[in-house]
Amino acid sequence: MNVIITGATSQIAIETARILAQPGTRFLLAGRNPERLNILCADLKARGADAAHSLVVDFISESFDGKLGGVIENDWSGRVDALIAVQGVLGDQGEFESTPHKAYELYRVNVGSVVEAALEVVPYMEKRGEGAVIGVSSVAGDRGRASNYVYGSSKAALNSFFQGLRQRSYGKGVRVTVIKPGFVDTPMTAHLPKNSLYSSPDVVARDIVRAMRSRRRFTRYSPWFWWGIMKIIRSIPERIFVRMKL
Amino acid sequence: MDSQEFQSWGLVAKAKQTAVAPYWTDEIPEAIGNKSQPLLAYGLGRSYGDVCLNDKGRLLVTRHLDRILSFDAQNGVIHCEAGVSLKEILDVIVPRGWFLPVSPGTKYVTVGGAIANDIHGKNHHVRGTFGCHVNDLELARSDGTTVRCARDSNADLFRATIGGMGLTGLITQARFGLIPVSSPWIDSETVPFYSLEEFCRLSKESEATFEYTVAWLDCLASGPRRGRGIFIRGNHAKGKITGEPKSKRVHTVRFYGPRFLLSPPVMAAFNRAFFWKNVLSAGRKRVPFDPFFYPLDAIHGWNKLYGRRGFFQYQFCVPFERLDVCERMLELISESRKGSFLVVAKVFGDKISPGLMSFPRPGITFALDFANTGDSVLRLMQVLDELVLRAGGRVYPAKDGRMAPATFQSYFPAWREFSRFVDPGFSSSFWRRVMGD
Repeated sequence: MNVIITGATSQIAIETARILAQPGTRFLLAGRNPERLNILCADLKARGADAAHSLVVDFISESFDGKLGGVIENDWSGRVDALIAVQGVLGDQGEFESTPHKAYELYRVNVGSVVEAALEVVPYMEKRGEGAVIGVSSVAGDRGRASNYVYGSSKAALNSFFQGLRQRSYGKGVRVTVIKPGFVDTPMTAHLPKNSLYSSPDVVARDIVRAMRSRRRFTRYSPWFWWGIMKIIRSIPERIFVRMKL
Repeated sequence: MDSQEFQSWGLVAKAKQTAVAPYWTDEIPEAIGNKSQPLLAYGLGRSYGDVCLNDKGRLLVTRHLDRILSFDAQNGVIHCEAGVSLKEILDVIVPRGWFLPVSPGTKYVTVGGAIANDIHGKNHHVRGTFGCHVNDLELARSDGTTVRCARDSNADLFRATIGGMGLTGLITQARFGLIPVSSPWIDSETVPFYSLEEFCRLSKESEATFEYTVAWLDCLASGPRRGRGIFIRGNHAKGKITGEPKSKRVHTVRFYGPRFLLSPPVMAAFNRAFFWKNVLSAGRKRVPFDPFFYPLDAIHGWNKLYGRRGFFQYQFCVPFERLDVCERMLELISESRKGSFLVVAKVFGDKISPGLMSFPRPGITFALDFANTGDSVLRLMQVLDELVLRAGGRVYPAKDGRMAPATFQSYFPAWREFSRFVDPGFSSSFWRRVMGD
């Protein structure tokens, strides 16, 4: 199995890769920090993966420019079984409001680089008639909230993009799934106080791997109970929601 | 991270400390910070006393530094970050035909912790301690430098770090050797014995042919029954064996045990039942390695059974000639009615560890749990300390939570040389206590 993970040094990506690190699996890990990527590649190989290579791309300032396709064609003979897009920055809502141009960076990482990766990789999957695309979105994308609407809207953009991609690739053997984690205990949330709703990255990782192997659902909330919470949040009429402090 | 109550396994020692948990080794300089507080590494917190605690200090929590950097499956050498747990190592190496050279009683310890406490296991008479198998390690010091230590490079610091209880700095990575095995099964044999002399005889005769030997003693048996126990010995099963061990159900203790559980009649009854059950099932059996090495790991949070007051673990070793001291101790314990559920006994071999402050010395070792019933149990342990001291033995710091400075310094005269290597930016509740601060 050939797996591409973008945003590979994130904790969710690391836990996902570890579950998948079996004999027969080859990884391409894309991220910004070459030393960390190398450490990861070594770890996955030690745990059983056949191969793990890194691709250094700073999503804020660089593009893939066909590099993913290059690896798929030259090293993998055209076969890519999964693309897991995990990259994302949370940003600071207050900072965006005081320095608006910082929002461009968040959009580049959270949306731009994910869109580019998916558009580059999916044709190879369609050609073989097989593949899975997993996009890590967030419950924050289900409804814009004052506390993090720049981040939330970037995830809403992903939801819509993957929806369209799913429709386009339907019938060609490519499955597109969106994972929507709730609060996860990772470096991204290290500065936030934790409550009982927080889950750990390996829980999200297991949901990602389930999504890869299942044909059934298009969207997975992680953990499952966020489906109920967001259903309620989405159903609140706007004129009431607008008054809430969320 | 805000001031958190990190605890040790005994649940007695209390410490309020700040903690930071770097995700990558490149974040360590920032984690060490401005050194306004003393630092100490914290792995999985399986030390019993206060060796892993740093009251009013800062803990460097290593659980995210958990990557394996390389695994040479031909020669059995593994190189990893110090936050990897022995469980994760086993998950990787056992399917490829390798095993840990030394295994403690739980697999939930980090490699860093295994080195810092220079842990030993049921095969000490063959393989020595964990430190005997470390090829090299990397140490991050509070001055911002990272030092590679090995037998032939910074050898003094290497010897100080093994068994150094985290006081020489933060171990960031280590390389150590493994032992080859052909299956995940152990051929084990259980033999009841009825006196300490029998225990010693069984140990001696098993040494040459068994990789693993250990005994469980009934410390609450009185009079003629004193010194009875169950001797367990085993070897890795040889030859290609088919069949994977089924993973056993794990139980989790969610509540603190009630006090009656620790009352003398209940404990005595448990010990009696355990002893006779094993007498009835004595003999040879092929078992998976997990329950052979790590029986208590099947009960998550077993330390809570000792209740909110927690418990002390007391492990000592005395030379072979002082079997009388062990007899006297069993007498004192059974008289005091402060015994424990499990007394583990073993004979240490003569493989000496490179660690300056390493605990095992050739002789007999007992490890006991004492429920924390306050002053009376502290006094009992002081009496035991005296006996051990007069016998020329020592008590294991990794499990200690109360020994006095003079006692510690008498047990480990090498402490003076060791203290030259203690990083000025690092300290622990244990070290401050035994240095009399």
